Amino acid sequence: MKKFSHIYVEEDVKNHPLTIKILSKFPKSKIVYINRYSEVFNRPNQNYLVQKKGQNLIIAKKRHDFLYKGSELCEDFGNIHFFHTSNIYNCVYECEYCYLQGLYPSAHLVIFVNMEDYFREIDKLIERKKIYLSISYETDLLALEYLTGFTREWIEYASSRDLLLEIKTKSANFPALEDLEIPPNVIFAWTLLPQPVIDRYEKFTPSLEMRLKSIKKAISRGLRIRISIEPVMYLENFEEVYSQFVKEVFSCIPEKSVRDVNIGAFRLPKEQAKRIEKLNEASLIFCYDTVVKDEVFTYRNASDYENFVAEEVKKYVPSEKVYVFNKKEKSSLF
Amino acid sequence: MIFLFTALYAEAYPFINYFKLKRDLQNNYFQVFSNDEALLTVTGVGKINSAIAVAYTLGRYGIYRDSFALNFGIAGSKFPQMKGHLYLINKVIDSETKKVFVPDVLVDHSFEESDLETFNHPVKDAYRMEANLCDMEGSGFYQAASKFFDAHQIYLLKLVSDSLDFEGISRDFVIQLVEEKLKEIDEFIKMIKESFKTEEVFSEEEKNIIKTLSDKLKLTASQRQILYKACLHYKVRENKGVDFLKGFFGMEVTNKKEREKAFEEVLSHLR
Ligand code: SF4
Repeated sequence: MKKFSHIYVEEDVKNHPLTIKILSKFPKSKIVYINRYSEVFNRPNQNYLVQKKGQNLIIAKKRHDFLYKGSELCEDFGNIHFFHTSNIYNCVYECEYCYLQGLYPSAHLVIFVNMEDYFREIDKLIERKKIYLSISYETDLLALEYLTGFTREWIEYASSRDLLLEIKTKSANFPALEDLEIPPNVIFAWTLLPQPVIDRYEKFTPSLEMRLKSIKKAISRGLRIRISIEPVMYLENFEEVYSQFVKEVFSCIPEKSVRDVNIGAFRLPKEQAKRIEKLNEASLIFCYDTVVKDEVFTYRNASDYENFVAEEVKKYVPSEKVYVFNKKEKSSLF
Repeated sequence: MIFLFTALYAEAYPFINYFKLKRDLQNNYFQVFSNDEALLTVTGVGKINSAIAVAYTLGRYGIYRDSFALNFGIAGSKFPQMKGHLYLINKVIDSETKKVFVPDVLVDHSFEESDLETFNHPVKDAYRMEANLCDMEGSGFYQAASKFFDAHQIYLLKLVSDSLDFEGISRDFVIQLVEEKLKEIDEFIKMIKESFKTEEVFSEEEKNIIKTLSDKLKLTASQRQILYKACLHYKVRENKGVDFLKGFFGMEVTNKKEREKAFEEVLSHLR
């Protein structure tokens, strides 16, 4: 279990049941009471990379902006509105390409414990609209299930509501939900990349093998899962590595259990890439042939990489289930 | 480099002896003492003085790679049992503005921690204090230091004296109190230095090679930047040094056209 040397707790939620539960797991951490999480999270001149190595925890109350509107999905869900939400800011994993390092002023983990307020906001929204809600947008929610139980709560919430819920993860924690009835409006999406890419770029994430095991558990429960092959990262022997990877994935996961496959190359909004480069100019993400196109920082040959992977995937999955990143989807990815 | 700030000379004196710091006689504004690794400024009492001294010191002496700032001083406490203990501060409240500043404590250390409240005047009554400790500099120091340093490079260490308002505390008493804790503080400083050491990608020799080549090819400022990044990406990607660039030192460049050609030639070996 991850340790936090310091836990900053907003006074307003110090007696919240989840705060008490979380604090009980870290008896050795120093507790510092604060008025607002921004006193810690929004301090000037924080070093994201240094903080990531000594990541601390902030327990807070979300007061506004419970939901963010994204772009319309390309998928054929009819007239559905895409939203994303975050009970947690930042992540316990350390992906080198992670856009959060260019987005947030701090690497400390923020957990907003007032789930009830999120649910209240969404209840109001779904009275008017049919929505598709991605709940693991600025973190990997399932990776922190042992600490928060949020994924479970979201699933239980969705089971009696008219909305589509997407849970994106790299974790191998599906067994934590094993006893739970997963309703058909909850979509699990696993992000998968070749093991050599995981080794280079995705520090502390579960191996491909572990993720596949977790997926197998999910499909054994009858779930049809989404696979996200993103961000496609370039590396030497690209074609060999990715074709081998695709083969491994689909020799393990039957096509009928795959809802769809998303493929997208490494992309970052230009400004975020600049901020990340300032933090770590020696990051491997900058060391291959990259360009800035339409305010987006990406590989010069991004489309070629995507198309190659897509063609490989189509050997195992019908093409109507394979989605390659395109501009229409851009804002949903960022 | 560690930048130390104390309000009083008595608080500074033990450090000056321990680290064998020499007075900067050129500085007419503040008493500043330094060696190759530490620079200490006596700021004077009060948050404004502290902020001025921090800004002046860092403006005048510059910030070095991997440096950090430490405010050390005597503090008062509402609890008698805190007397004689040294605390690393994890939260500073400005009693006047009610602003809160939270230092980024990312290191594993051996001190106890406390919050601190900075007042504009000596505190006589404990009931006026929101935090456990009080001083007259903390918030000013933190605010000024955070203009220059990352949050994890700013530290406040407070030693609790036996009286809330410091009345009747002699210079000798302060010196003795500080001397007793110097070893612990020194350990802490060493640990901070080690914890945040940043590694350089290029060796000194490689830096020289890149600079010499840029000079020989008469590169423009933006070309120098492109060459530097190309070298960096090459080294990280290939895990190989850039010493081979010495082979291009003999290239003759007499006009812009030749410069462009030579520049492209060098870059093609780094891609
Ligand atoms: S799992 Fe996602 S949110 Fe977490 S570090 Fe990786 S990219 Fe960032």
